Amino acid sequence: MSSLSSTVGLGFRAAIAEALLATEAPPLAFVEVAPENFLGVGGRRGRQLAMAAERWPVVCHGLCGDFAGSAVVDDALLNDLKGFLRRLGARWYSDHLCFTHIAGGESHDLLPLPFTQEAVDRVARRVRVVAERLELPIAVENVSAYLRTPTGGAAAMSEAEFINAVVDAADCGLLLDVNNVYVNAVNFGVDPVGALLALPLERTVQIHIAGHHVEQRFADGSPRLLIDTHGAPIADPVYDLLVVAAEAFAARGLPMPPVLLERDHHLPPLPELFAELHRLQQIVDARASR
Amino acid sequence: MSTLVETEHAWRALTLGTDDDAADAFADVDSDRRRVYRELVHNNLLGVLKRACPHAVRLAKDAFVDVANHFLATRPIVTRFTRQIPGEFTTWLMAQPSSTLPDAAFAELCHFEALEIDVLLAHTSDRAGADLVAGAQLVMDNSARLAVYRHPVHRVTATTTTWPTPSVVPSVVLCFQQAEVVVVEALSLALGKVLLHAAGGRTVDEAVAAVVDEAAAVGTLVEPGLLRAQLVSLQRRGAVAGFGGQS
Repeated sequence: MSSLSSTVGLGFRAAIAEALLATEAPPLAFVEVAPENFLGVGGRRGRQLAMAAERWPVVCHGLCGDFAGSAVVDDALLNDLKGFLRRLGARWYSDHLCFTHIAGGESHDLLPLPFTQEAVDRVARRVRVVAERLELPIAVENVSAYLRTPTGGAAAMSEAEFINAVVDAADCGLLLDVNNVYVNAVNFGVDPVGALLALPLERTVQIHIAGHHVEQRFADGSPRLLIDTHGAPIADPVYDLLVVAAEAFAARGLPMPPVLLERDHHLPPLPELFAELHRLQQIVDARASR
Repeated sequence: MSTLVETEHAWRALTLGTDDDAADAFADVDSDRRRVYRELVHNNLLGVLKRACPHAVRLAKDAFVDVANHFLATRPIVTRFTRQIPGEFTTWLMAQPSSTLPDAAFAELCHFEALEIDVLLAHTSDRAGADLVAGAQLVMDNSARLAVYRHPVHRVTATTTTWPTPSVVPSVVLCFQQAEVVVVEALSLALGKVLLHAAGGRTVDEAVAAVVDEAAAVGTLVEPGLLRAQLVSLQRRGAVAGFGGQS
């Protein structure tokens, strides 16, 4: 991580790839790809990834690693993934702390886990297996949630307790999604700063930040529900939470992890994304100058 | 059964509506919050299918969504790759009675649209031997896909307003990637058979001879020189990687 500390990067998406590659000096130090979108892919998309990899370090973030599901570990897929990560010079590999595989099928979405010891044990086992097969450090990302998954009567932890337990048991890193911390804090009525500071920040290898959608239709007593869409500009309170995170890293003597702007939908013209990257870099730099 | 396994079943029931009893695990959760997940998972998968099959969506209208919903509710998605979901959908479609689909051409049209995505994202091959000499084996480009359709679905465009009607002779369609773009070519039945024979391991000479003999058996004349010239043309344009394995 050291070479990317205190830098910002951008998710490498097909909709902006050509324009990004044609930009002379975009304000980013690295790009991130989801291997599921590039593994075994040729044609234009494959060529674009090759060009990006010549220009920037590429960080890899999985979508369907299924750290928590019951699917059998797919050795062939892991071998392909290992080769892919090696070709890109990946220093770590991350995926989400959630269900993606559900009962024999792939959801292609991120479904929150019950915060139980059984889930901790299952995730930790799987993360260790994947780390061993890929021969890379693994980081798990805290996911956004819109409901608390029932525990079936088992004792439930808080989200922060659960994440701490997982990274300890798996001895893995944390991909800290600041937007997800904020989204969940609003959705479950907790203090976002407290929620952030309760996470195992010392294990953070990378930060994600993104925009969200405000769902207004709820009638369960919630004033509103936030949906993590990656389809809007970063909200000001999320920038504020990133500042809190940066200060927390500084206070604990930790390096500032690389910050990745995720934008998957309603992609604006590149100058708008670059403006967000500039603002992120300012936050990172302000922390570094302190 | 572990609680986690039960939770997976409950999630599947909640998001794709496969088993109402399993979804009862979420009964105490606010209905609006449950709805969010149903919409996220279902709409994401449905969106993948709709984007993959724009012509089928336009011609079938609401019936496309009905069929896609039936697929999502009854057939678990196996692949972890979004780009392969349309292929799973069309494999399922081809096994459905056509009477249950919006039109007799529906499955073939979806298949063709998914095929184009598959070709677009495929790696192309390194070029193989250039000369079509005696004993040569045909090496198709890695991006090339051959399909046979009862309906000329490859002719459907953004302005087509009616479903294609079945042809007397099936359409043999070859898709391949050329300069990062998908090329679609309708082949003669004879040339299509040569490609199929060659894919089965026969040399070009054997494949051509077999097709000429098959045609002769039904009183049709097929010119072997023309077939060989067409193969060379396909090689020049990238559908055929080359001719290898000369004995």
